[in-house]
Amino acid sequence: MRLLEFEGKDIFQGSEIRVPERSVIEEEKDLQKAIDDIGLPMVLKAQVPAGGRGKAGGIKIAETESEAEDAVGELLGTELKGHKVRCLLAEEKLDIEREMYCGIVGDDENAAPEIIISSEGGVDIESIAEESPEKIVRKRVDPMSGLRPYEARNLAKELGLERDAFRSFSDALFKLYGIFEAYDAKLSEINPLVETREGRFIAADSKIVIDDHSLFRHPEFEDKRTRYIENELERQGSEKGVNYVDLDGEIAVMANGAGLAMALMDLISKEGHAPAAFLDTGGGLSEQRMEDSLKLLFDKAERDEKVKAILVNIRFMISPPDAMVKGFMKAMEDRSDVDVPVVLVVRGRKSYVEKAKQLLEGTDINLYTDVEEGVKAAKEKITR
Amino acid sequence: MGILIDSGSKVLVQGITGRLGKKQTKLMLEYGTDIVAGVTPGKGGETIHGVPVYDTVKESLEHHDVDVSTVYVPAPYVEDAVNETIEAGIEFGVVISDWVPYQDEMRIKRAALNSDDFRHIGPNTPGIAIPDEIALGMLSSPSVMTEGNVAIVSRSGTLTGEIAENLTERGIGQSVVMGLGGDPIVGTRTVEAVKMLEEDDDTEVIVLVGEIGGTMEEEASEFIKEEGSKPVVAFLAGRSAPRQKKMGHAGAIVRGGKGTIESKMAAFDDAGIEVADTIWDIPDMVEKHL
Repeated sequence: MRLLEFEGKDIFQGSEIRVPERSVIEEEKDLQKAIDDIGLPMVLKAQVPAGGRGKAGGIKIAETESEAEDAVGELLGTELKGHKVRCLLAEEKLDIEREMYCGIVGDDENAAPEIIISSEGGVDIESIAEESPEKIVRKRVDPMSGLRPYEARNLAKELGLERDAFRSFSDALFKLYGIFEAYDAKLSEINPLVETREGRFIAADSKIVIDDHSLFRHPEFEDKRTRYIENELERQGSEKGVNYVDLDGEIAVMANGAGLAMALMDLISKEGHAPAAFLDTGGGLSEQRMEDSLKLLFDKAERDEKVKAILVNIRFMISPPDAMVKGFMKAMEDRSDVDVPVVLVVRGRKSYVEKAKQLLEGTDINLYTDVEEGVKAAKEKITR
Repeated sequence: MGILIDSGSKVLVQGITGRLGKKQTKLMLEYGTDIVAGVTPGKGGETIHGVPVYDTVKESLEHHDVDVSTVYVPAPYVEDAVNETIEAGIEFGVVISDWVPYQDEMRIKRAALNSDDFRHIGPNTPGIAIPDEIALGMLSSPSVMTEGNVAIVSRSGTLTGEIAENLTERGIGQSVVMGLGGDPIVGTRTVEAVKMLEEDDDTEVIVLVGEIGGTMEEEASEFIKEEGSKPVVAFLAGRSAPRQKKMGHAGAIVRGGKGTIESKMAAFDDAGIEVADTIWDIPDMVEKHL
């Protein structure tokens, strides 16, 4: 999950990385307190978990109180980068001398954190890498020993920094690495790290992406995990622990594995149709998860009249089919009000497939044990 | 023959008393896998499906020879469990557990690289099997796999089984069926598996199942282009998936132009690797090479 800018800055402050004077605005009446705290001029920044906010008009500078009021009115509640703006960050306006970049990202291939720093910042690092690669220094860190203070100093030197810039940059880099580790980040970034005209070094923006798998170590973020999933069905899916992606086609697809569900989508596309939804239930399918998953697809069909069929493919590996069948039938019964045909394909361990067939005997479920036949059946339901 | 394991491999199960460990131990035993011991701290002295349980890996090795450990412990304890495997001197680990934190995976991989003789597959792997000989992990359905000369190396769990089953239904057997794991950091990368299969006399054709994200397919293609002698049939899950939507597993970051569908297709093409449109085309394509 990606933290909001102000949450990242709170973490920076906790680690003694300098951040601007700031105040969070959740409703219009919070502005007065922000002005009292920070003074004018101020910068008002829309808080959404996405980059490129400035270009999209999500950052405004206010010289006067009435400009600030206008900006708050314009930004709060609007949509930016696919997200609703639920709060703003008001900050002191920095007098910028120069902007630098400081980031740490997980390198999958080498199984190590990679430090990426640049004497230029403010734009995304990919553009810097493209336009002036000579201004970037990269270094992989051994995750066992972490980044040592002297290594941070060597890196700052490699960027050609001297005096205050050298001291402040290496200090911020070392602390940012500490944050990367302590918060189980997949990415932590200060962009830009600003040197002001009066010689202060300040993290003007923050980007921290926390690994969802690590949230058991960071329970304070658990209830924030799904808040910025704007599609309601996708958010429900995420809350129920399944991977649901809302799409725009005729056949809603579900399988107990991401690869399998994607392969089904490929097959449907090859047949000239488009998937209406992708749902990966994940492994160890329980009765509840099966019920929740199928109901989610019924909800989709209820809301979107383009949906003409639901295709479910379950592969039995190690769990007997009883729980899965129970959950499936429960959803079928509870949502019999939604008029959409459901095709079920079961495969995998033979004894479990046979058992599933037995359990479903006497019901009017469209049951198949061959995927291509199942897809054909779903297709017929569309063209019927 | 196959790679990494054989019918004589003696197996330890870490996390044997958990829900998943217990269930899979039974299925692996039914398949014929030689499980000699299990470990769950605090449960030493119990038996699970006739398999003796010990408190520590070290203690289990005082009573048994072990060639490979399958790891089922819950995500928060996986790093510790794999370190215990390595420290005890076991040479191969099959890490089934999923939802392992990214930085833990980083350190696990680092520990494996730092040790001279330890290799692992996973985390988040369905396991590995030499059909009709030995099965580790979830790939233990006798009806799905049969002995033969096609190796399957896959990043996707359920697809591994589906492809094996389609081949089996066509009468095409497999030399090895292995999942590498769906997470961005895995113990054994595609290219390493392909190198081992290149040396394996029982493998005539290799089926590679990739996904978008990461650079494993590009890396493997490079090796196959330069040194590969065996026909390779590839499949990439998610070719029809819309961009900007995260569907795969951990959604490995697309870096420097690598990791995209286009980059992977180009790499496959450059190496002369045939790519199946859907997984159900794979048996036809494989059959031509046998």
